[in-house]
Amino acid sequence: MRRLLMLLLVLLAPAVMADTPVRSFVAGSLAQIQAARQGKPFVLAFWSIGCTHCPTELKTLGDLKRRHPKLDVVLVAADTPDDAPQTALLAKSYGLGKVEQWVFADLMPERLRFEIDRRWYGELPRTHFYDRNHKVEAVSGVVPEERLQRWIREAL
Amino acid sequence: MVVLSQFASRKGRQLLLSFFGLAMFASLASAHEAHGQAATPSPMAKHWQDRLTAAVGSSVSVAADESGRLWLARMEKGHVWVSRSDDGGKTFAGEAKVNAEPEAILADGQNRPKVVAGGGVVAVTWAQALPKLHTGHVRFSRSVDGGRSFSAPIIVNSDREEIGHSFPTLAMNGQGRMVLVWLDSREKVAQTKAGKKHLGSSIFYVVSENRGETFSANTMLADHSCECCRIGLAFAPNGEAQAQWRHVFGDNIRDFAIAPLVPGAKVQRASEDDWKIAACPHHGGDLAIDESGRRHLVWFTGSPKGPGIYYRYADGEKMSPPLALGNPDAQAGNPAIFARNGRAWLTWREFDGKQYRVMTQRSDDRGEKWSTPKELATAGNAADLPLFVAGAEKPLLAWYADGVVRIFDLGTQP
Repeated sequence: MRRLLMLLLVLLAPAVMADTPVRSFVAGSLAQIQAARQGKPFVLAFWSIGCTHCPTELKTLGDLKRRHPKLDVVLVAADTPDDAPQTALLAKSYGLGKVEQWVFADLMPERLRFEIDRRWYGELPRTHFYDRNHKVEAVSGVVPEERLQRWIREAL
Repeated sequence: MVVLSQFASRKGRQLLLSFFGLAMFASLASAHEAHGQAATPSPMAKHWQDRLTAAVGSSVSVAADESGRLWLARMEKGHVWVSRSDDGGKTFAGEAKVNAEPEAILADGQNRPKVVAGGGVVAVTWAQALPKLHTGHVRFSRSVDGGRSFSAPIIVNSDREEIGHSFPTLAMNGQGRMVLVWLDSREKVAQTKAGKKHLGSSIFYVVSENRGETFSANTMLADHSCECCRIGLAFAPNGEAQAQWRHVFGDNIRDFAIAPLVPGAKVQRASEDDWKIAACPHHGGDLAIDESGRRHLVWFTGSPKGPGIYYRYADGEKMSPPLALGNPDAQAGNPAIFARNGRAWLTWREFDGKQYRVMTQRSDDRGEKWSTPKELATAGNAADLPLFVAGAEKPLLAWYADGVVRIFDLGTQP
């Protein structure tokens, strides 16, 4: 049985390995993310490997994604491109392996934040809720699950 | 679960996870968490260690001794390096390796190797990252031969578990009293093990009366500090050191607090922003104490009431109203303060969309009135936070930007 299981795993590995590649988030990336979602609501979630409170947020998002497959989550890790393999692994462990993933690719993260939200000082997690008209509500810190549920009821 | 053991790597486990679908998620995730507590580092943690050991730190610190000589501490490839400047910071030379064996060292943002100098001693503290994420040891080493050689680094935290002991900072006064303060999660771990909810981390300290030759026992100054903001530290004229840090008041109000490093110290709330946030903002403040004992405080809050950076002074329990600093649309942040001889200087960093700029303001009446903000310097590449030179008699500002440490004497600025 164990051998069979192993064999199955080996055979199917290429299929299950096909996760979203982590893209480099640079100046202009935000516009790209938005343009690909014209007229559609989505959640833009900023996080980082080194952020103490981010796992709580990602776990919640992963659970919601499972219950609401239509929920469009875009993950942006405020780390560096070197960290991409790790951010991908972590995202996957929270059930977010298939969502669009980006990682900061700028020596000056302030430059990216300047474009994203001038009044964002880098606190993480940071969640931007986009409604259909792309009106944005930004929340710093772990978003309470009720708040996420409410957004899903209203936006999806 | 026997099958799992055949997969040495985390990737293997996650492959299984994808394959068998989500029904198994909960049990596997908990198994992984339990495994994460064990001594074997995960591939991710290993990668984290290797990267830190290979890196060049993006944060440095500079201290002055009583002769005005400057000492720079920086991290490169797993070592802390200390060099000296005899020309006010124009050039640094005689770089010495502090830790003989390379180790993973945190030297970016709110964590930095911190140097002090005086009385023939040059001393450094830093945070060594351990394999498990968010864990570390507080390290300390000193030189008694003019920075030529350094003692074997010690671990300052008496708790040696692989948990959080990090963000150390150091100060020394003219009498040779040295204080070392850091963020420590031993209390959190103990409370969590006992099944209690524990918000934040704790502030711990040690004191030395002989310039770091020996230290007092680890003492908790306050429980429930924020987890990853730098700590402000200064000596009062009576020789008592005080710390300023982001505290967790109640259920996640993350405002600032201040307390002297004495047994049974009363924690004084130092900002009333009521910033409720389930996160650590990685954004601490700074503290200076002038000859009269007036405490000058700067800090950051993201409170919806008024996000941004602020200054105030405190005479005992009496505090001035917070004064907003900087341009909030330019990410004005990480303020620092210096107070001496009735005057005070402020600095912070902004980003204008293209480059970083260091801003300054001066007060000639102990913090009552302030000059208009002035741009001191800019940098078009990665830049550290502006900091005042520790132990200097003058308002010397150090800024590591564009790969160079620049020193400015704000006392000679117009």
